Amino acid sequence: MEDEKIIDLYWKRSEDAISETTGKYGKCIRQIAFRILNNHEDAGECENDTYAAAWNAIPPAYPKSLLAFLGRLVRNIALDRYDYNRAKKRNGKFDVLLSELEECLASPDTVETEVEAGYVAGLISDFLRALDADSRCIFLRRYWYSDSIRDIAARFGMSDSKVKSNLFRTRKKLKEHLDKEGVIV
Amino acid sequence: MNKQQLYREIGLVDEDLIQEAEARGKRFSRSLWVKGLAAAACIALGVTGIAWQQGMMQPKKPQEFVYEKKPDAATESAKGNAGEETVSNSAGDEYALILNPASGQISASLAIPGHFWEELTEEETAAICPAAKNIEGYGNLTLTAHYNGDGVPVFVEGTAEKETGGDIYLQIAPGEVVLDCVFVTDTQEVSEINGVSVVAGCFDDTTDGKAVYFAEFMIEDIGYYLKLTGGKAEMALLPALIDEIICGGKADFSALHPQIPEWREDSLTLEEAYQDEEFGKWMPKEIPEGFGFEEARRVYYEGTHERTETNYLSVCWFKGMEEISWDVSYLTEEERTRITAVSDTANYDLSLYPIPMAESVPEELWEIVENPIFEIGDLTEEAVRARAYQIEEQGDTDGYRMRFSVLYPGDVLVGISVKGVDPERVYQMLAQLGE
Repeated sequence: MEDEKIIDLYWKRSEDAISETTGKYGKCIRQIAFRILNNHEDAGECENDTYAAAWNAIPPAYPKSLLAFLGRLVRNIALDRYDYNRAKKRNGKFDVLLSELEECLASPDTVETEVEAGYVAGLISDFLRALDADSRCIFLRRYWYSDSIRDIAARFGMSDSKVKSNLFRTRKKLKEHLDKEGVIV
Repeated sequence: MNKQQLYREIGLVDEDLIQEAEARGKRFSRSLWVKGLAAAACIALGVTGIAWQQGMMQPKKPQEFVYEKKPDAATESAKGNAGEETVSNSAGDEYALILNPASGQISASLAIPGHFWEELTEEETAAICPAAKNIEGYGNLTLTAHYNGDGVPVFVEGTAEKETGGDIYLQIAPGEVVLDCVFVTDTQEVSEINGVSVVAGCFDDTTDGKAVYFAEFMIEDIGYYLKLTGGKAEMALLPALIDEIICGGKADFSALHPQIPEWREDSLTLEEAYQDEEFGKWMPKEIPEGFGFEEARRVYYEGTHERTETNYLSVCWFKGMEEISWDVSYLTEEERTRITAVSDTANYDLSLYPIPMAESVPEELWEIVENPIFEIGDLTEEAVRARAYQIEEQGDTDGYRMRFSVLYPGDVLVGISVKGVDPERVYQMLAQLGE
């Protein structure tokens, strides 16, 4: 079913909205949650929380891309769960992914600072558009979809080491871009 | 900002970029079973592009245009020879081809056990698709047939590029074809060309500025998928090509007579791995305590003129997060370039290359530094130690990691990838082989 029709179901408050969403995007949502949490039970709970969040958000929201909308919800829900679980259940793989992002920060401190949500995202979008398509997609597969290096290598027909090199160069360029834009990171 | 905040900000990037990353994948990649990778041979039909245009969720309406079939040469000749003016009925048949809105989609994967492929001969091409011999603007389309291990054809495909840009892809299969485009509407408008129902579509590939025009149709029980990329000229060409393919008649797969190569892909028990006639004696005599057998695979693909022989035994053991991966095969010619003397430390000593190695390792040494090959007579414990490194990853073991290969008499190559075993122990395991 097209996204537009699924969103219409949300607006009509039809319960078919959830079943249609599950059918079309359930696997993707579970995968994103699992890659962050590395636990099927927790990922399943995050998936259900995502549907609940979507049900509460639409309306008034009318997403242009249901995939992006749901993906953002599950990423944040899973990340909140990850923080909660961290003392007990570590996910080494996701820790590695987060530590890679530290290279984009001037000083990787752990204290949260005030950042207007979406402002840095806009800068990152501009940065990504200036890249070649493969580098752009590799970056997003790693840091939006949380794909493993191996999965990215298989998707793009490259070796693992080539993916790692590509990501390294992109992170370095992103850091330079954010510095140039005067973003205090 | 900390790394988690940055991760959340990345989550808010523009939606069209997220969609693009979901759709983009490798195009027409064919990967066989290679050392250390998963079981069956796979074909990945890659997506070519995505119809995403920022801010435009509304699908385009179907476009319709009319194609006028040119009169055939025989009819033209008859007119000339008649010597008198005749009313020609060959003003051309008109076909209306409706292009339904579509987009690229995630690649589909076909797992074909025992997969092999062969390029079609001229006679076979004529039997499968006579139109492929000379396609207007593209010339001869070389077709390749893909078979399973029993020699049953799974599908035939061909691709060609125009000198002026744009390309063509044709797939023919018994039964349904596998598409790498998807319609954005629930139902599609069907066209008819030469008595055959055709479902056609189009979308703009924003990644390279070209449009994609495609069509799928069945001639009896044979499926066809034709795709052109380019501009308006290619759009105008599509119905003519469909017509030509249909006029050539249904593909005759019985005309294909492949030479079926020998192959095997077997999961083995540990005992069976040790008893393997060819490679069993190159299995480690002893495994460090605590490691449990995980899996063993024996793979053989006979070489053909399309691909080289594949022949190996692969075994792995796990101990929590720690692992030992052990591959035995014969050295190939390509691998000879990775053979290094122990004296050439630049080829393998990881202490010479600070992290990140993507920057510190010279480009010309990447391949050999990643997986050097030592000859067993030259191998030392110091060399093995030089391959070992440790990293601290939360939630993972901090044990030694190393990856390299050792060459034994008879060109037997043992490739190891280890996490959580001391270099001294690894050296002992390798030194004891063949004794």
